[in-house]
Amino acid sequence: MVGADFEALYRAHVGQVYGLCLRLTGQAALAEDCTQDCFIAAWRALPGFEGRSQFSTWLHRIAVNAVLTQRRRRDPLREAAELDAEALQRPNGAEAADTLDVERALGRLPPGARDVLVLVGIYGHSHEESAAMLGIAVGTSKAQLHRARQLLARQLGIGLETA
Amino acid sequence: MNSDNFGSLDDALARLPRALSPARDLWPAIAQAIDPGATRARPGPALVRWPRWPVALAASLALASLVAALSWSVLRQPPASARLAQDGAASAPANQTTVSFESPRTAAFVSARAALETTYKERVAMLAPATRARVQADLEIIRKANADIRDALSRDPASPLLQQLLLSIWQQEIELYTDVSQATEPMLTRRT
Repeated sequence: MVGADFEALYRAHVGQVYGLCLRLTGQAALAEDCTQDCFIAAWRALPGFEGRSQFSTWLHRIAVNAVLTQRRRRDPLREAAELDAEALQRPNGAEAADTLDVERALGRLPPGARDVLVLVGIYGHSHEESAAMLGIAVGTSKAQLHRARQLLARQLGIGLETA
Repeated sequence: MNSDNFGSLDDALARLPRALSPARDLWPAIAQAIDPGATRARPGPALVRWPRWPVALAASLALASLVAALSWSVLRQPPASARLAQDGAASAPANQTTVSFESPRTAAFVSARAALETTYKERVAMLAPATRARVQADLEIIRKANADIRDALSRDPASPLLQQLLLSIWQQEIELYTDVSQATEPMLTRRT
């Protein structure tokens, strides 16, 4: 079965891809669409995967492209909308509320700043990778991250660690 | 939001889970879209023969894909791959050799990996017990995935995808070693 092997890859990576799409779009239904688009596009592009980056990085690049494509279709995708809190898994215990606060604050960031913060701050991509995925300059990625961190810290009322 | 709970923005971001589960299984729609019967008429992936990977391999890959994130979270260090790629060589002993993941079979890679592993073995005991247990468990998962991928490769040695997955696993192992090295560096500094 051609699809059976690809399904194994899907199962291994769907959580991160969906998490990425949800944080970038802020809407569960849209994130699901983007996740599906991502894996369909990945399937089509897989023969050309040359391994110059990690598989997960390659997949994230496709996911970001799916989100950007959706944004162009639905212009504007949303205007500073709240993150779809119902779609977020809430961990048990006292940290749940704080975690949700961070997710909500993330959803209130301007899209450009949020995109970079999600890619660099949460998913650990470099500024070079972030810039390539978003189609922006590396310097813009750095500036957006700085802006996002300032805005998020202000919203959450917490301090920034100095580098 | 209680600021005392986080301490810093980086802590807050580090606590966020990278993987989230969609409310419904998205695979059926994806499978339908890539159904070979529907795509046979055009060139592309539908014409590609895929290896029949065992379920164990899929499980290993799923687990291993989480390992780097878990260890990164525990050790609170930025991803080592980015550091290696950007810096080439860093100040920590484990990073003194430039590692190229594009040529992992070269003597330089083998030597660098051995050095990283030696540093890891020397320093893992310096970690807090809970952190050490997590790191050691993660390393076992990585090694299991490595073995499973090699097993699959022995049956399908020409598979470019399996070869790339093997590279990815090797990179995760290097990342874990480097994260331990970075996390324990301040302890060594304090001793001297």
